Amino acid sequence: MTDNQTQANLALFIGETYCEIEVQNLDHQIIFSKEIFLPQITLKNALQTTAAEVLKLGCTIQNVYTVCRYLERLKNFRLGGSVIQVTHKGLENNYMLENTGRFSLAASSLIIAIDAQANMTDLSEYLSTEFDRTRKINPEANKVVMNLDPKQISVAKNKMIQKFFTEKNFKLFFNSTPYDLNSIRQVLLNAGTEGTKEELTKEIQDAFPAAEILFWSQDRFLTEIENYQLYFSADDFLGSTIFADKNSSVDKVIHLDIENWMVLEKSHQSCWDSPWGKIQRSHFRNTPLSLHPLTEILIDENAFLQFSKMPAPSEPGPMTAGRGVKSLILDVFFADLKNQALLNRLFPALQNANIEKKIQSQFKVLEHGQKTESKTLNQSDIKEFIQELIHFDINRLGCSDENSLCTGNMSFLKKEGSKKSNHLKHFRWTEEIFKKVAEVKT
Amino acid sequence: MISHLESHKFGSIISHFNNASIVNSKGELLFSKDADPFKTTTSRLVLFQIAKKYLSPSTGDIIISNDPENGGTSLSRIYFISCLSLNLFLIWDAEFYPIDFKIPLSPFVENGKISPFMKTALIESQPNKEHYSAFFETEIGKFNTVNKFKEFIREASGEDFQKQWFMVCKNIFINHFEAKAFGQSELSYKYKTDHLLKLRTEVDEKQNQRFFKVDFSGSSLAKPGPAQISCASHVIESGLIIEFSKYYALEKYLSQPILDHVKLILPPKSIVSNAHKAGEFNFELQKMARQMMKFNLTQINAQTKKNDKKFSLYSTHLLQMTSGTETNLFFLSNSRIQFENLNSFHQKILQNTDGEYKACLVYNSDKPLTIRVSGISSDEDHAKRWLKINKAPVRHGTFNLKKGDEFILNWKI
Repeated sequence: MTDNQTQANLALFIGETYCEIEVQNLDHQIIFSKEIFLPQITLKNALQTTAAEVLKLGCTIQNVYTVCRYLERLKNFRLGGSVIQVTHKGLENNYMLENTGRFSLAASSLIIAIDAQANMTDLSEYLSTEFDRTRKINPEANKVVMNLDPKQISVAKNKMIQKFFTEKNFKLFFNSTPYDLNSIRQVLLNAGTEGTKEELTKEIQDAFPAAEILFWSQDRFLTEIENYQLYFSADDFLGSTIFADKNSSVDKVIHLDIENWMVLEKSHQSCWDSPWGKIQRSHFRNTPLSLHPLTEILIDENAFLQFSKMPAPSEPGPMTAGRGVKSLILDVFFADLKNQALLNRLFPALQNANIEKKIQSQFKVLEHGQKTESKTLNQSDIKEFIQELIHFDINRLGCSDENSLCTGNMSFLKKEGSKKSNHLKHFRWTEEIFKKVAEVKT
Repeated sequence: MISHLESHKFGSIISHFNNASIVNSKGELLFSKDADPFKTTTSRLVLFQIAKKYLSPSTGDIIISNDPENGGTSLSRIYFISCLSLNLFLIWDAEFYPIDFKIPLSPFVENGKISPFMKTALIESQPNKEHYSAFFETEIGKFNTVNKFKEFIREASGEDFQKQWFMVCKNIFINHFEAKAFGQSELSYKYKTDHLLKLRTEVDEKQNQRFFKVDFSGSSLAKPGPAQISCASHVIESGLIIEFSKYYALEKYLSQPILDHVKLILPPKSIVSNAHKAGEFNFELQKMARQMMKFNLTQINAQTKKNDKKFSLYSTHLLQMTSGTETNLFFLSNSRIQFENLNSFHQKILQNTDGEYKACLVYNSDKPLTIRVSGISSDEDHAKRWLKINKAPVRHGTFNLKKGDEFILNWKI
């Protein structure tokens, strides 16, 4: 065995709910691949299993190329419960005023608002007292955002505050434009998601200690990436892959996956209207479709069939995955999912006759629970309706067979147009990751 | 047979619009959406009837108007009445702040093409014609997007479809009301010392038919001349209908069968039924009517003894901040604050502590800024919600800011 043969690379797609892993040797041969549904097998476990298998094959992982959607999980939450913010008096939580309906990025009680004009001794004492106060609120807080304007605070005072938190083993984040609400949000988001990113990188590092970890951002793999950039890793990657051909007329991707239905456009938006407010980050325009694959189908208090406003959480997931108890949109398409090879690996329960019966009986319950004055909808009606609505959405968003491609594990939902061969594109994250790596190298 | 889920399809095709309604040739409402703080459902229906009567739009036509004394609401809010098919019409409205002149009901697009006369008169004669052109092109683009749904337009134009859809909505209405209380509630509110708003709300059943009555009889008459504080009846109706559908969770099904169960009495020439030439009091009177309506509905449906709770008006404001050709909005209510951008202000103070928002913003641009303030400044609410410009309280009107001026707010949510 040559040195070359012992080296391998790993492509990793970490979605919100599922993960794809593929290992290739330096001759681009696939030596291992795996798909897991994250609520059932942890990423850590999957990576450790992969590491063991790779080791058995006599390989070591050189690079881990990662495309990530994992942070999408945090989109429905307030963040910053363990983040202290040092800012100027009068600017406490100023970023909230732009839209108070958005989630908070920092706990108000963990703000230390300073008077930059105070003398060094007073400031030091104040900092110490305030720190003790925040300790009582959250003794676990271990990150601090320094939201200070260098024009208002002296270098010495700034350094004193930094030293204070460094000595207490805090991780420091800096924003030198406390009047720029977009930049405050960006830095607070970096701090608020640091724990999740650290956990991810640690799990990869533990499994492959010798490997370099790279994340896709914008148009390349990077070893250093700010956390807020990770929110666009998968969209950036998908866009870079599909829109790379300058001669192609395709400027839209209809992405119908098991965790995300959207239309991604070639045109860019400079600002991200995030769940926490606006953040400056150029990205491909992305519009979610009306329904989400994890949207729950339920009977409302007036006995009418409805779709939930928010998708169900990924844990325990759809009934299709084995443990779910609610009827989700994904479950409507149980029979179609069975024909998808990758999904069979992801959801072994697709071959379980009992699960199939459970899903059918659940839809019977929904059918019989409806008010009879209106049309009673069975599983087949719901399926037809969902497909029609997808068609409505993509039509509204300007997609045609000429200007768009459809990707994702549920691309079978897209009605066939006139150019059958063109509009569907086989897309597998790990396969595309390796293609990109090869492209960059050549 | 169609189902209630058709609402998703209607919702999808008009999702590009903030405020829009789909009606048939009789003007019967099939579907509606109102996302702006100021509601315009009935205004759109009124304008459709006027446009149909005088201009009979054909397929592919778009008629526009902004006349606040003739179905419109303010000069800057442009209404578009379009024809999707002989039995399906789309009406929508959008704000365009540079317009400060009246546009009478006029054919803007004829058979899919912009009228050359309107293009010259409305767009090319303006000093900032690119700005005008971009606005109207965007709006026409939205119409073209809806027009792509040929199959659905054909289906929804059919009488069978409409009949079934109305039946679905009616059943939902009946169903929603089955478990709701009957009763009545009356409320009077003295507004700006010499104006009285009197609202009586009644939910009753006759011959197995629920009906819902809203009566403003007894409200003050509008004063003529500069002291006039009033608005057109459709402005109040839009607010009441939205409040009603919101309270009974009928927003997705707001359509003609539901409107047919709602009887609104707005005495002619009263403050709730007399158009103001610039629509200056539309927002505050609509907001006031909505707050009163919500109170009455809560009273009717309250489990506890009535009249225990006193009505208290909360403050709410909509600020239009215009500098040159740019206008930014600033909305404040009892539950949220939202503004578009504060780039031209220096933040002397901008803080949130326990739901209390405080700001002292110093205007920092050489271009003068005009702030148009509308909304409610409630006396009961004054300690926790107020606005100031250079230390002087601001309640209503137009204010000019120059570099160095301060805009101050204190707002508790």
